Amino acid sequence: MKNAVIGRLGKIKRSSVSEEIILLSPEDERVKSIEENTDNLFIPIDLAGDFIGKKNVKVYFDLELYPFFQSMKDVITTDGKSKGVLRLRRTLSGHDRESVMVGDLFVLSSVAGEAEEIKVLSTDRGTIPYHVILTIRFSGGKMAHLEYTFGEGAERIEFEWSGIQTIAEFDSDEMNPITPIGITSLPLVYYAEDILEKSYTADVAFHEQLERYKTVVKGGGSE
Amino acid sequence: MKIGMMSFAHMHAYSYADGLMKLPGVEIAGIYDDDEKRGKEAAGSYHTKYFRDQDAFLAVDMDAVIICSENSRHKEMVVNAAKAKKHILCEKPIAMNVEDAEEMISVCEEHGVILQIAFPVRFSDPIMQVKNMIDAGELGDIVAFRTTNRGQNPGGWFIDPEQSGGGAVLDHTVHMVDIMRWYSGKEITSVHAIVDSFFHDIEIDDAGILTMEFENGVIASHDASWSRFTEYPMWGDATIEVIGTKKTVKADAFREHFRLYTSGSKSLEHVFYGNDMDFGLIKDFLDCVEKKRKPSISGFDGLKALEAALAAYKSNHTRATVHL
Repeated sequence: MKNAVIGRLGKIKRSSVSEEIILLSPEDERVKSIEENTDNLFIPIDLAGDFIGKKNVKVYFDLELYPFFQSMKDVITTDGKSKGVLRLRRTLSGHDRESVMVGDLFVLSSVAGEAEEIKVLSTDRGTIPYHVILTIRFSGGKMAHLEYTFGEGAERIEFEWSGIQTIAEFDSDEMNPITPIGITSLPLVYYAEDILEKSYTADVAFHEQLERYKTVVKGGGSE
Repeated sequence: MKIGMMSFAHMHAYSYADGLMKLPGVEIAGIYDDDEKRGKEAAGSYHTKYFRDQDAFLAVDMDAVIICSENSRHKEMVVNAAKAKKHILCEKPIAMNVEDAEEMISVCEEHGVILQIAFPVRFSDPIMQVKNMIDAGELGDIVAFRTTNRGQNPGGWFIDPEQSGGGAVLDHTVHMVDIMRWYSGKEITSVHAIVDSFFHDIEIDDAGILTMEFENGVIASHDASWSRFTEYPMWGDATIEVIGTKKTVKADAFREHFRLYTSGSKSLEHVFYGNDMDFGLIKDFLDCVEKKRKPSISGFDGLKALEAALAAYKSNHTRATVHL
């Protein structure tokens, strides 16, 4: 079976890419025709809109693929009824702002439950840095702050879970295994196998869910 | 200078009294506390006289009082101290509602006494350093704030709504709202919040997340909780991240520490060695009294911080943004 993955090449551990996987950057000219030549096409959330209605397309979200997130997800979901506060902070540059936030909402809903209430507050879109705060009340007793600073700095993710007698903290700058920062893209890389395993079939229900989150993020205000 | 202490119900009373004892020329003139055992023990520790009767205490010759009672008694003690012409340092929050806070400010003005609210975080070295960077223009224009104040459940009267007026959200929001107002020089115009009780089996809130907007468009988040348990390496945090057009900086008043590993139940401990912000607060208050200058942190500052915290409860209750 031939699988093709479109993604940011620097994010995927090259040693994890087997011969059965064709890896392409979004800018690669072969992207236009790759869908016809593979059994499965795996695309990041920011390209989802370009492949609506295509049958062999699956969508992945970077947050869900990071090894740190997969481990912390286990901590958060160990007790399915656990209450607490989630805090995600991303500092990014050169990304599709809306896709990042929509993707995170999608992933965190799978961890924390259905988002019952979402409030969006942002600074002036034309000002750099552009900062966005999402406040979310999930069903089942979790609340979250998702905060994004879009500017020119290096990528950074901070993720915290304050649960009952359990606190988990991650900071990509702090947990960088090589110093000074900037030498390695670790720990913010993921494995090709995880893309294949954790992607979502881009069916109608999937796109409806994305559309719901897009509306909230685009319009600001609350749901 | 003679300073009286009114109640040791709030644990900060001990560090404030310790601070007074370190200062030359400063005397603790007496301790009033309606908890006789607690008051007598404190009087013994600080080598001063204990008063069971508030009128008798306020009749003593002294320059100022420090009030560390339950929140529900702040108004009564501030008003009585003001009428007795004593300058006042009152523990935060200033009161349990806006009306009481306004009356306290008004009575102090009427009697010509200083009313300072105890926001010691302003005297943390890293917090002050960021303030200096902002004032020097190093961060450019402020775009957003991110703040946290998460600690342990203090228990006792803090978890009794009748005596505290609110849980973690009231207890911790006022600190960081004060810092944001101080940094920006602007007022909060709207508050949205989710408040809940997650971490303890108590009838008061122990967690809340707030988003706020300032009059100049700056946006802010705040995470207030009593989520830290005794095995956590430290008491908690008091952090502020300032996102500016030139630079983003983050300060934590409790960050200066070394890691201590032991084989006990608390295997990792963060041992704090930063500056004593309570002592900084006390020195500033006494300087204010001595020089008869305006307080660094006024009753109005206490009122504005209280307004934001109370708006968080209202927002949670109505599930809507509250406009101030």
